[in-house]
Amino acid sequence: MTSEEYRYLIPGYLSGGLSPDDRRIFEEQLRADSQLRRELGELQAVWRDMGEIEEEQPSPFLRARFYQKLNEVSSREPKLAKGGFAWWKPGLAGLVRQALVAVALFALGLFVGREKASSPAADQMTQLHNQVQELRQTVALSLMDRQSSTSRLEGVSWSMQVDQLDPELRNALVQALNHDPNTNVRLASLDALEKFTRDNDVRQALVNSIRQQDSPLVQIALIDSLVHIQDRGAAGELRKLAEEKGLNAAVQQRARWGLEKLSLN
Amino acid sequence: MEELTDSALMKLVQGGDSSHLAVLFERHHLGLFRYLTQLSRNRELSEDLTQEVFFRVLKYAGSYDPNLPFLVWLYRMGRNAFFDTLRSRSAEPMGAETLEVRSREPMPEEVFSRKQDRLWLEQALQTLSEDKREVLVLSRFHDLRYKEIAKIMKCEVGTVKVRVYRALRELRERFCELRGEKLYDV
Repeated sequence: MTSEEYRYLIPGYLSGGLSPDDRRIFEEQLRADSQLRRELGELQAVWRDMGEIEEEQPSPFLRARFYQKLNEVSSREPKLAKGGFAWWKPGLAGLVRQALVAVALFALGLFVGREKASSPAADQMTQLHNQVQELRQTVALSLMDRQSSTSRLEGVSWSMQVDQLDPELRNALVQALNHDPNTNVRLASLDALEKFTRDNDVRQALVNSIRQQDSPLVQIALIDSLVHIQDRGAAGELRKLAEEKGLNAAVQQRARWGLEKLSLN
Repeated sequence: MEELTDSALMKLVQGGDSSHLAVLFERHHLGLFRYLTQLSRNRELSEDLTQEVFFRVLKYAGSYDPNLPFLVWLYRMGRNAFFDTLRSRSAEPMGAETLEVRSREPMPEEVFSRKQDRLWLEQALQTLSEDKREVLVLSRFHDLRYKEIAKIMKCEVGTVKVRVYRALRELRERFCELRGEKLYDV
């Protein structure tokens, strides 16, 4: 093996991916070659520091959109006809759209009317913004109350578009997270709540929710969320999960990982 | 509770039960998203592609070969989806919505230096060419063996081995340049 070929083994040595034979050969060379030792030390530092690069987190919409689409695929509901006024046709989605258009027209009327009355434009924009926020919240709450899980998912998606979480909507999301019969709705609710974890009540609700879940998927997603928001208050719950006998192995493993992450940062 | 392997889940998906895609999504969407983010440096695009890839999994479930690790198949599909988008958007600048360097809040002096190093390393990684960044990211962040990376990138294992080494070395050079350090000739 040439000295260059020994160097090609460095990343594999650092990641623990070398075969036992390659590892032995590499370590023998390492004892004899000071340049190789120096390069290993330099690259080892970079390799280790790479592990500390903050990893990107997707927005909560990714999971919600995925489950919404999956629900559509699974339920094989007939799609609305395309073209013309298909978006206005009857059905839940149609109703929501109609409500939206009505409120948008109302808001536009209000805006134009007040513009003419020469009120300050900034105030009007704020009012308009608040009305849209209220509309979103109303639509979210209304849809989350439906029988169909597709509608409830759509409701959760709407809740992600509000800027501030009203207590009523917060309770509805926590309720959905803990008790919705559909796992996808529970996961989407978690994503929606994660946007508001500056609110201590939301953080506490996430911690409390771990024990209420029977789905390993939701438990793992909760652990990920708590680690992502660096909620050290969750350590106690994670420890209990890590030590609980008979719990799903993947959940236990994730809980141990979570504990490690919380104690590292 | 016994956990189903990815291949076993894919078998169920192949059998027409799309609900099992949710388990595969939960297991792998974060890794796939991060891989795509490192490739594209565009968070929004990576989210779109992550979703698209999982529905490609559903669409092409019939062509899944259980002898191939699911992760390799998934990442390969992600890679193809990314390059398809790159081709179709070749007229548009991909960097339009690139990831911003995270804003830093004031921090205690003792941790500042370490955080600064991490930031420089992140920037150095972003300056590597696409193929070098990809091979390094797959090797470092996704715990994939060279054999698996070779299958994703459709090249020889030996090529991966050389590329990872060269990418790591170049990363160090770029990092040291950012820190204003002088490099030894190795």
